[in-house]
Amino acid sequence: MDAYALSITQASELIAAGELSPVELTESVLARIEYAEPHLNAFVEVTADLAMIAAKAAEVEIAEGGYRGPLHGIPLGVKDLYETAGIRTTSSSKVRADYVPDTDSTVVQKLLGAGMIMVGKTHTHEFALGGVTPTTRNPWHTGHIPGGSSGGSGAAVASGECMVGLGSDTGGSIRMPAALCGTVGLKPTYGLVSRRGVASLSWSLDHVGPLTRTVRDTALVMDAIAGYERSDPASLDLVPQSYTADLDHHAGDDLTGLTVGVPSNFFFDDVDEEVDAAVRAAIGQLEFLGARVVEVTIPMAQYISAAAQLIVRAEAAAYHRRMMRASGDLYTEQVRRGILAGEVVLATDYIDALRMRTLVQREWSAMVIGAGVDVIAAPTCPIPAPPADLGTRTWASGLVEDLGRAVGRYSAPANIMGLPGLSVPVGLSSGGLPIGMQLMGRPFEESTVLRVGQAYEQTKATALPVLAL
Amino acid sequence: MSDYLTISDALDALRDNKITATELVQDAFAAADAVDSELGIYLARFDEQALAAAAEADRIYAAGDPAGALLGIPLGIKDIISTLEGETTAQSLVLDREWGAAIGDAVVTARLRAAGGVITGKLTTMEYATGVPDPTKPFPIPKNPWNTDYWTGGSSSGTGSGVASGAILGGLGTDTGGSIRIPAAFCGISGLKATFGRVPKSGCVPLGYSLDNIGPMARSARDCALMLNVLAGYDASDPCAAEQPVEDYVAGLTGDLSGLTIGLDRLALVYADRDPAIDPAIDAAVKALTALGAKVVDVTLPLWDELSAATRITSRSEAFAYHAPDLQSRWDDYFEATRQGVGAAVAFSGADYVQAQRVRRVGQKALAALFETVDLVITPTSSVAGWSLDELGSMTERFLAMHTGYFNAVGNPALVVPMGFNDIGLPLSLQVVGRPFDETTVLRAGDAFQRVSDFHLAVPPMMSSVAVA
Amino acid sequence: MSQLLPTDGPAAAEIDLPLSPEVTEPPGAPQLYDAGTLAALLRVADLTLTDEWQQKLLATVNDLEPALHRLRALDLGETPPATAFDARWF
Repeated sequence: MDAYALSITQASELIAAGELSPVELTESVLARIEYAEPHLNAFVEVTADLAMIAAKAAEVEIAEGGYRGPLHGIPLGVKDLYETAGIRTTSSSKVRADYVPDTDSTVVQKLLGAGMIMVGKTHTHEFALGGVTPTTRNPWHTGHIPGGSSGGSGAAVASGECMVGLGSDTGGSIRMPAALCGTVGLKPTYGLVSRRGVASLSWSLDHVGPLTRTVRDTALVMDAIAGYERSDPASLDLVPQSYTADLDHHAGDDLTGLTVGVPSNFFFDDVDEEVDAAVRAAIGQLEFLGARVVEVTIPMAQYISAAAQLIVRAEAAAYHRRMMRASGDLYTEQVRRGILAGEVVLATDYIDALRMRTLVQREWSAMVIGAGVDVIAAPTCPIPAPPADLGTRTWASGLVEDLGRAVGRYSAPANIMGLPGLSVPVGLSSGGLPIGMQLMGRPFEESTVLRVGQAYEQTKATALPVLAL
Repeated sequence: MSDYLTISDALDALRDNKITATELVQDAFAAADAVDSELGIYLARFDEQALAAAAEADRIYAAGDPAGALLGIPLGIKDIISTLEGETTAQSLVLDREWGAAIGDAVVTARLRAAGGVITGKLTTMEYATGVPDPTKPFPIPKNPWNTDYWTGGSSSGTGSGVASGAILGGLGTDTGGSIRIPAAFCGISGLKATFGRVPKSGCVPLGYSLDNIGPMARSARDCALMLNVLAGYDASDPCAAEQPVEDYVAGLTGDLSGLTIGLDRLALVYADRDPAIDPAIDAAVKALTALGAKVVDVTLPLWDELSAATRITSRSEAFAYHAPDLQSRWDDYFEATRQGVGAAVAFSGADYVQAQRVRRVGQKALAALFETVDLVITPTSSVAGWSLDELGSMTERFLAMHTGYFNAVGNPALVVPMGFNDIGLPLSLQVVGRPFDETTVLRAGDAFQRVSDFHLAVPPMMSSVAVA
Repeated sequence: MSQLLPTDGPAAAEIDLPLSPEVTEPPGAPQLYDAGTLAALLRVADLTLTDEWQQKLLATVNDLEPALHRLRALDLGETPPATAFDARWF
């Protein structure tokens, strides 16, 4: 197997044993980038020279006995919303085309501190305001979108251009590209990972987290990036835990004792038949592994997305107020329209959306606790990756839906309630495009979500897409 | 009026068997009987229940085991806070009386009761804790005991006039933009808005969710400390309650200010028509504080206009969201000032509201930087000693003259204490502000000042004709 | 819901806001509201008022306008709001 295709767990064992050098690994990944990038365009900028310098430094450090841990020497792609010291951070927008930050965002700081090698900045849907990432294509079929907004990270991780892609998720932007590109993606609980230094779409709903190729790889990254920081108002000062240790502790266990809730409404409404079948089959696997499966009813489903919309619109309008007036022409039209619409949301409607959030949280927690549910399992997206020209689909309910919007229809609940949401690949459509299952846990119960995800993952073989280039 | 003006003195007298709780409560009711028709203190009195509670307190004192920090002390509750007895009306025709009935005692009411406090009744407020009196509505108009042509200030009006006139020894107020501190200032008593989150506010009708505080009003800072000891501390029923350790605020009253640096901002320029008695009173207070060991330095509170504006926009927008369901159907039932103040929030966009929340964060940072150089900040509570009820002035005039809203935006604790009188005998007030959750130092300074001054013990002339028990 | 946590010290790495007189000067922006805009906003808010009350409210709204300008004039960079949602259940 080429080094780029290894999981972090595999690669780090080889690196720790001195059987793989960070330089070889980085070279392998950079070669893969060179091969795939003309067709995917996952990166805003590839920082190959800096990566090689860092890889050589890591090699020396490890050779001298300074091994920092399982992320040391592992290649990282950073969504271009994350500030990187001395490296352009454009948010995939002409508005920020020349923006070079002085400092690293907290997550980047932590991962570089753990010894990761940054290979470049990955594309986002401009300012994270969309689920398409029009700059970038899906490695499973380059005629299709990778999803968004962390579409560059999704495409890069799936195709072997890096082992970790950083994402941000305000309305599904980690989970959607993970699902559509066939990677694992975790949106951690609101308040678990500091967002300092990541351009905001909506402070109330923004989350940051990783996309990786395996669940354990996600746990490795979470071990490094979770933690309190005062400068993120959402950040909570909690006792740190090791997600990897918890996974490894349960490695031999099945899922006996855990309860999986399967929604009877909202999450399977107007869903593609193949997505429906693949996710239900995966839930069947969870049951086979010993989990109790119960049906649950999603409370206030029709209000959740409405509240999320109003919150995002008002906060994005505030964030962009000055830039929009100074350089409105530099935004792409769809994003400009989206932000401008937020300018006319009334304060009182915005506040009511925030109040609704509290109400939904109460109802949802009552539902989960009442049913004794540990995780809720559902499709991540209603459809596999749509073609790049998007188009619409007419559902059985009569709903005619723009496919660029359709991909995000199941995302809002985990953002509104800040719950951990993990997307794991559960198969391919007949068109050869990945399908993702979304596992939503209780707040700060990342361990449980990861455990269920890993148990499922171990029931099936995974492979990187064969790039038909 | 009773011989005992302060809670502290009354507790000593109770313990020394110089007076019984029954007598104390009877004295308080007698004072109320004499002046309430003129002053508009009570909306409802609980004579029977209060006398029963006093008798129970006397039984406990007689048994020689007087547990309960406020045992036998007559206390009044602003009528936007729920009590087991009577209705909670928010002094409004609109509020559903079932709301309070379903709650019974608010957390703070229960805490006062558990400490042996005798709840004498429900006190007048401005409707829904906002605005000014509306003579067309069927409620008492609160008048200032120092001059009944004058307004008490709002919105905790009855608590202010009740303490000043001896109808109660202490009581609860609420403060969203100054509603504890302003009536305390105008009525010549002490009042504390503790740090946001310090006192749980479940069971209190909200005005501005993110600005509201419940706090003590009494003659002295020491009395406020006694009450805060009972009121402070986390309760899960209030999502804004802070999980911060509580101190013994009475134990912190050392009378010694040596080593403290106090920043003075006279706020001389924010209101043109300043009462000429303010600055001499401040000079005298500075002299007293210096004699007590503090070093007083001139400071400028950062972002004064911006943070005052943030409180204004935030409170109106949040109030509109709360009142929206009734605003249309009960428009004419609301007080005129409520309609004006709350209705105006239609002008604010969601982005404006979000902007206000960001300004608050910038303000917290800027103020934290100032508090690295000083331990406390003092200001005049208001640039005027009040307004006559005939000339309440415009909303903006009142807003500019009263210097309290700024500290709701940032959340810091703020105590007001009397510091003299103007040329027509109306009280003047000093505001003492501390670091977040440092109520101890704030109260220490107020108490120390009151050990060398007696403004807080002055009795309004009208009370001299009221018989002493 | 939201929790306002007063800072225990300056939070790191947010923008350093210039507290210069230029920033805190009143911006003197044009008047935002007239009878027509207020009527439109009331319609958006689903609140129907008499003409007399619309007049009264217009005065209040104009009274508040400087506060709005004051806030809008401040360049907040990446500053997040002071409050945040708590995902924990009780």
